Amino acid sequence: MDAVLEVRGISKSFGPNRVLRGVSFEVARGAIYGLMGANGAGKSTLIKILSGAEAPDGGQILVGGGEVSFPDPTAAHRLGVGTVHQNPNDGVVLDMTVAENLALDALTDGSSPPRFSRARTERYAQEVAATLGLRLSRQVLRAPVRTLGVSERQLLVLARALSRKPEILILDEPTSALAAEETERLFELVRSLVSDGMTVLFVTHKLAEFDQLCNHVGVLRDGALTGEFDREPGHTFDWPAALRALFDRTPAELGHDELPGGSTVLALRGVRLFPGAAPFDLDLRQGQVTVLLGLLGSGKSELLEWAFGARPVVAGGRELDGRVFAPGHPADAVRAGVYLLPESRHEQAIIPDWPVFSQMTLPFLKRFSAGTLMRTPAERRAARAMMSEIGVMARDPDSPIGTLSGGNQQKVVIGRWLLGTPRVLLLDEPFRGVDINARHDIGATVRELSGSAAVLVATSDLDEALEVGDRIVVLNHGELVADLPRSAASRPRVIEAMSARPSTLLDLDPDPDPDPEPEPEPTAPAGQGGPRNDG
Amino acid sequence: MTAEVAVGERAAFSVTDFVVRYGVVLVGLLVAIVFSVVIPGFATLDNAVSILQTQAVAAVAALGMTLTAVVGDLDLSVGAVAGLSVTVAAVVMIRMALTGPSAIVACLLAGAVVGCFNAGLIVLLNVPPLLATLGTMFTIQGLKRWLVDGQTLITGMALPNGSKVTGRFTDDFTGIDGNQVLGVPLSVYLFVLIAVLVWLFLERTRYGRVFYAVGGNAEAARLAGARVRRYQFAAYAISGVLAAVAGIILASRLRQGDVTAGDSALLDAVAMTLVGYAVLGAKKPNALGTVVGAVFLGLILQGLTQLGLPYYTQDLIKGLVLIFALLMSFSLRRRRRARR
Repeated sequence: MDAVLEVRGISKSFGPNRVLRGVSFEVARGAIYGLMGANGAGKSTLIKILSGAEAPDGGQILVGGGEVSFPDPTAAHRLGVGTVHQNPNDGVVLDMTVAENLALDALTDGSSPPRFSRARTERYAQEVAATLGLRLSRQVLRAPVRTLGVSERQLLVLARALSRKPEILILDEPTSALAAEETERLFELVRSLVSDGMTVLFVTHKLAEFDQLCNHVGVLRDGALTGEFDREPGHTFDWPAALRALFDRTPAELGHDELPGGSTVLALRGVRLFPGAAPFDLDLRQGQVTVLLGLLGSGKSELLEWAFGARPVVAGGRELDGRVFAPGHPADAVRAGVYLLPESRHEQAIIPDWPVFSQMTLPFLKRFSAGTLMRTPAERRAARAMMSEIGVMARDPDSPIGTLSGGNQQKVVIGRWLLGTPRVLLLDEPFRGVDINARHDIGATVRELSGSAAVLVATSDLDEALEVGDRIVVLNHGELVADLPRSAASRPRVIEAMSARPSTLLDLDPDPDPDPEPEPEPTAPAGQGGPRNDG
Repeated sequence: MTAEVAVGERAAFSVTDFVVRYGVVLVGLLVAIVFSVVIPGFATLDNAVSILQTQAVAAVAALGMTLTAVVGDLDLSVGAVAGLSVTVAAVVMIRMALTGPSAIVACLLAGAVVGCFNAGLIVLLNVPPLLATLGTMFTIQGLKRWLVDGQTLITGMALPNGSKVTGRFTDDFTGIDGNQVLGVPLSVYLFVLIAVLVWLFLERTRYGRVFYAVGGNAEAARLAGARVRRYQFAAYAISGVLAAVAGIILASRLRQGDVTAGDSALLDAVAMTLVGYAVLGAKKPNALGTVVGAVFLGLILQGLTQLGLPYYTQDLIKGLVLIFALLMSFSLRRRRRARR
């Protein structure tokens, strides 16, 4: 058995929490092994262990047949294990330029001469970017990474990981911030790397991506591997069986009736998000879920934050229940029952180290205080009730937020707003970094809420949009280009409306190079799936 | 299964956790016990009151600094503002020959003005807090010297034009630090009162909750509907006022317009606030910690002084105590995290 990576009985506990209880699997050389798991199943911990960020309590890791230990990430790099983490901000230095970030390894490993040379750094950066088939203009190379969007940061991190020429590449939800075109480009790249002999461990929440990329899938539930599945070439995985291993129940059918929508709650008039973009009107109605679909940079977040009073736009008027609504600060919006779930949970929603209950009550402290003194028991009661209502898996309301999995953290910050009386709920990428189980829960909560409030879900994922929405509104470069009931929102139609330039990084390459020079000639079949199939 | 969980929880106890949580308090108790044994008359109520009285000035300033540390960063101008109070009190009572209450009002106003000036620089003009308050510190130190032409204002001193100043520190003003009720100076009551109020504010009121939210993640607090800038403004304004109160206590003790007074209160306040991070493993600025820090520092200084340690080694001791506390709250924590 030619297993390049073998995991034997890995276990890990955090305090009383047994996150991994003896996980074993092996990955054959040149395979793309898919790993799926629900909220808190232990995926992120397993990846942290494999990348050297955490030490396991027990078990063995074998690379190329020999037992290894990764005391730190550098050791993992040395042994040929490279990891691209889910949050691209973990892998870049925001205040350094693109070129410096790409060249960071060369700048820090002592191989470059002491005198910093911009020319040399940029030359090296180009080499690194070339592993992804990117050619960057001088202007982009000299831009600080802070000015880039999430997907572009993700590409930088990926390019750096690949430039280390790892034998085993771990991709932790690499597509969660990428547009469809960028995702396709990434998959092409992964296939060609694999045909070159690299081995990939691929983690995602999107079932379709497993079918496109993997031949084997392992399912993790409650810290143990509950099933492994092989895929016949040309077929999809046995999803009913895989999903049964993933959830302890068969997931309900995803389809839902299309709701027509009732009266208009929030009316946005003559909105101009960017200078030069054409103005548009948008009515958000009660009794249906409106999805705002658009790629990164389409102006989704800008629109939501403006409706919430958190930022200005070029022009536009707002009406709430027929009256002029001009929040100058989010506090005004909160008082009027207009709530925003921000795009980035860690940067914009969570107060670090706080327990669950105070994360939830933060916007409504007045209600939980007598005079000015906090009534903490009332907070705990309300939080406990909300936790059971929306299914937050945590020991109790006093658990620090950091001990919860991503999906449960997201539920907490959504539950925060459900403690109020929402008239309008604006959710910016509510499913980002959230597994399938939690995604269904959140989708159900959101649909239920639409009975009493206007709900707007902003996303860049068409599948999510079709899953949760009754009405699909497409935003492209700050302009509203389609407004369709779900029944009329056929994939080709929506994709056409969304398409165009997905990111400025790719912009620089106006005529997409069909044959990026660092890649070898594609020996793998161009279709889905790699050439190898062991089992 | 449940038994397993319970065992796991007990196993989570570690010596490091214990040290991080109770280290400062334990060392403080140990120091107190050793001094009580070694120094006759150390373990008396009078001595305890004397420690509190000595620390009251810097501790009140440190409580204000704690508020600013919660929302953002240390207010480095507290020492200068305390010194400004001394100068203002001397100018009002000695040069202008006005009453004690009017001196108190003038000091509080001056503190509030400086506090609002800091807040304006930081909140409205976006100057980084440490740098803004550092700039204010220099400016105020210069301002108070300029107010008194660089001289120490003393009752009866001659002015350049030959006349003599006739005013003096009034009895009601000097009584703040001089008069005692039940054997305890009024300044100690004032310190305790302010400590309790700041503690209540931070730990029990909803404003305190928002203060910590702003300090933890200002953007998240804003998007939860908190008017972040108002809270930041309030913190620096209150800090200015509390520093002025510290200065009033100091002026009442000195009874003259000493131009360098208050300068040393800054470093003491910084040390108290940062020692506070380590108390009970809080890892964040907190009122109780700051008070414990004040007592801890006072205990060590008082004891060593009574053992005959020369005054000029005090800063050395303070520095070492501060570094000890910083190791408690930062280094031990990091090692524990890495071991996970």
